[in-house]
Amino acid sequence: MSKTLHLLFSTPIGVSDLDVSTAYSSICNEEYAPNSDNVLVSKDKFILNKYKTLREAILKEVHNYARSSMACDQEMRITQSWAIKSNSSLQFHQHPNSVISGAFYVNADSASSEIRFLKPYVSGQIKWETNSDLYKNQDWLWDYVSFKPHTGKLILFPSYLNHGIVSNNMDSNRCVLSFNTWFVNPMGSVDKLTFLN
Amino acid sequence: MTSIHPLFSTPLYQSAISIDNEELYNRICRENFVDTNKNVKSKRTVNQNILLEDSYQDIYTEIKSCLQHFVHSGLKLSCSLKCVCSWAVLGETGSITHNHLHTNAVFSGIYYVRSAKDNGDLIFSVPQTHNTFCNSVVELEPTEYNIFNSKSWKFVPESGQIYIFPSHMYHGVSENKSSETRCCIAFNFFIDGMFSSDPTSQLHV
Repeated sequence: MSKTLHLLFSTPIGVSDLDVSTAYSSICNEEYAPNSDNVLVSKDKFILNKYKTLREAILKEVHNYARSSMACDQEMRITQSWAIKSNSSLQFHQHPNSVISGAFYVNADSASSEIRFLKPYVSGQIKWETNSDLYKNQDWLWDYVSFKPHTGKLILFPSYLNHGIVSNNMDSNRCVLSFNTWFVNPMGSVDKLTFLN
Repeated sequence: MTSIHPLFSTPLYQSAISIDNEELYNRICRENFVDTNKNVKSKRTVNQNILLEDSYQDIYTEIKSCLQHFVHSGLKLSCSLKCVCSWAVLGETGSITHNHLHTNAVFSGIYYVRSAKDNGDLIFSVPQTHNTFCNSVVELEPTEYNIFNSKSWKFVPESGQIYIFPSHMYHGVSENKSSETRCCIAFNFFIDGMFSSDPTSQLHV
């Protein structure tokens, strides 16, 4: 008798590598200012307007992600984009007023802290002792999943997904560009009473 | 008449207990304490069933009375509850308790033995992913926050106050900015006996 474990209702995370033969390191030299959490954020919150080749490359990946994970063929646009340069932790947060968000690593090395995504629903109200050997292979149980960055890595995720960085305070070279997206054209359907222009 | 109904809200019980808190504080200080794993400059009692000790029967009786009032009179539940965990916390100057919830419990609470302004606010919150007056995709910015449009809510606890809430409710304590140590007793209750009369959802513990 065959048995199947169906991993229902998963959350798609897109990971790809962009061609970084074009140097984007000048993003690291933009003007930065500390935010309320003392994280250095670029003063320019529409930074991709200045890096058109990178913006087009990101939009291509966003489109692929929207097609393959959201069954969405609509054109997307980048609304806001900003860079973060920090060796400190980044509090867990979401990106409201956006559909797909992303992190592009302008600069990261082996010491750079991982980006951590939290499980998007509350669980763990009943806790039992887990077998560590079984647990490590059952990622649907995990409360969070981390991705290790490297220069040129692009991570796309649903904007509602909570994420942050738990820093090891060693990654002084980390520079990551974040962005939000929205639809270019009106969304929804007139017939289904979901039309929004 | 026009009304705004706060439907499907999360109930939080707040009351006060009349007891000699200075004497209770001195009693607690004689306990053995360890540093808490996650929280800065906070210590908790080694004993994690402090309320079940004979020497704390007075405050335990008062806490159970508050819990009964909340659960039976307020929430109209008939279930029996048992205290499964209870511990005292000392929050020194600079202490912070990060946002958390209590697992393996149904109702949790905090009794403030010693607390005043600037000793650390008690902050309840719902995850950003929790849909309230607006969904979690669209963020609308209120011009003024109130009970209908807030995703976090703070209390400034005073000595003698008790708060009881569903254990799944996220809460934390902001930094103790005073020179005084905050002292409280935290506790978890679970169902004792039978859950539910519905034959498809019964559980006996």
